[in-house]
Amino acid sequence: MVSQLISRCWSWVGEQASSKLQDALLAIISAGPVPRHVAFVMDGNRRYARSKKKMVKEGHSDGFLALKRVLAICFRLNVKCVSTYGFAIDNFKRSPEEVEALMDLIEEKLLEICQHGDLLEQYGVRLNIVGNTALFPERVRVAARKAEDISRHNDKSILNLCMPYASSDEMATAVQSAVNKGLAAEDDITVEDIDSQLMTTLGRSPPLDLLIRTSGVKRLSDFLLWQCCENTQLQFSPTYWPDFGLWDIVPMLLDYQRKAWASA
Amino acid sequence: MFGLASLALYILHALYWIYNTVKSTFGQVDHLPAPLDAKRPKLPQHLAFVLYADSKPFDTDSFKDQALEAVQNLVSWCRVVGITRLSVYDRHDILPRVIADIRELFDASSDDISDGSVTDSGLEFPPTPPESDSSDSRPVSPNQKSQRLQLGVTTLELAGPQDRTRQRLSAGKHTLRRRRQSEKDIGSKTLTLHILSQRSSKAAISTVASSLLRTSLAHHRDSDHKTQDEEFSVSIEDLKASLEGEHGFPPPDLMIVRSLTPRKHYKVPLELHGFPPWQIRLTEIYHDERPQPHWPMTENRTSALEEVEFRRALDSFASAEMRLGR
Repeated sequence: MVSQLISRCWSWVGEQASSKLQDALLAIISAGPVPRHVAFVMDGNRRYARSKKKMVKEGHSDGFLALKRVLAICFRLNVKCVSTYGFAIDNFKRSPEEVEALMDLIEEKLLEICQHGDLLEQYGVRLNIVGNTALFPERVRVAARKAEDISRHNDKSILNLCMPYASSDEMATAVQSAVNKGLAAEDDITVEDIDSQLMTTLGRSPPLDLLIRTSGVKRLSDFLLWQCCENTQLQFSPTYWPDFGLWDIVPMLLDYQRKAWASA
Repeated sequence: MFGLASLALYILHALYWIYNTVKSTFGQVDHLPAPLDAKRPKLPQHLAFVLYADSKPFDTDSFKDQALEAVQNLVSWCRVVGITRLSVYDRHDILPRVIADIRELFDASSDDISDGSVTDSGLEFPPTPPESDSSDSRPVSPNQKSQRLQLGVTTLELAGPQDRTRQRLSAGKHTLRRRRQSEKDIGSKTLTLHILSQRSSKAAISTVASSLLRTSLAHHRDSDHKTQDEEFSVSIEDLKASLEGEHGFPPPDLMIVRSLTPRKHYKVPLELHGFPPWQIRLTEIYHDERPQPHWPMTENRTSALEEVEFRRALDSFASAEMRLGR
């Protein structure tokens, strides 16, 4: 009885100390330059689940918890824009069962955002669904529109949920828009014209400073290719996404600060 | 309070510096990669190399010499390994201006260059004088130049030593040569070298877009009133056909990103330095963020690009898992 009480007290003290330490660390880092726009490829949910002997569905759920944790870190640091690769157009190639489970999860989480928009309201986050949403089933499209509507008035920061997304699709769409606008002006299309028609730009996202991919994979997999090919630091972390947290991102933020100071 | 946080941040960065220095020092003693000609489970068919200099002031001549040396080494190593396509992107647009030097480099070293560009008809034209603007792809014929997209890609076909010898024995210097029917004779020996510039990057996509705009305008002028209100549609396949076609270059399987200058910092995070974005959708990226050894410093430094690093990149590629969204 006494030992249990002592154990609980010790755990509580440990959690409080850890929380205070994290707060202090974030306060220290935010004293220096922070990236304006950070993108995440949240990779490794399934491998994480296999390593923990969990079902794939649980891996995706734990991955969603990691997303909430990392978003809280970013917005407490005053990162203006966060983009996440929620669902790739190529992911439709997965088994129908897994795709259906992912559609369920996406719809569930979007509706959760609508019902409990605490994180969005707390940090003044405007939610953008970035991607070819026509490929989603109707129920997910409805949930996406609702989630965007409840945060449309927020203007302090931006959260881009890229789904279903492919950078090649985004670039082709931007070129198409630029060409159709050019039909009236009959001028040549410039790089700036195409940039202005990207889905991220249309959502008022600033230039991308840092792109992070987890699980040790060192590819971009058709994510934000135009945005990250210049003046963006790419960080490939060996950690699986559901395990990704503050201690993984701190070195990346320090690397960014060194670059920002060197450029100043 | 802000002053205290800034001081704490300074201390944090100092600790981080110490950590990376120690890691870099002891991390340099690691196991060697497999030999160049070792059998690897997976090899890239198309390798891209991103060259840049991160030192200031920027010495153009020194960079040019190192870049040419890197290209020469890369071609040599690719031949040993069996890589048939190599793209070299120079962040500072120096290599595209010295295409003549690149041709001369291979003529002088091993006579393994095949002059002229290969056309769709399979004909190889005789050598032409160096271009005045080396950053453009060479025209397949003067009549087609106006129709060509200027995507900033220069493509050289480097025939193997055996093939070069056969060509010289079978044809004179100024005659048309037909490409051999057997892909096995030429394909396996030929290395395709793409020299890329900043014009091959985002600017290439805008060039294709402008070309599509002109096509659309011509279509609108020729069409009736009903079709003029229709929006012009651009698909991924449209862009792919232009950017990855004969005037562009296909997606590389593996990309190595490397500074050609001694690194000033203990750790250099990866950046792509403007490499063409369209083609890197599924490219495996290799980058060693550790600095080159600073000691012992010798007068005669070896090549800025070491073979051991090339082999390490190949080993990394061989172990990568590709799931393609599945």
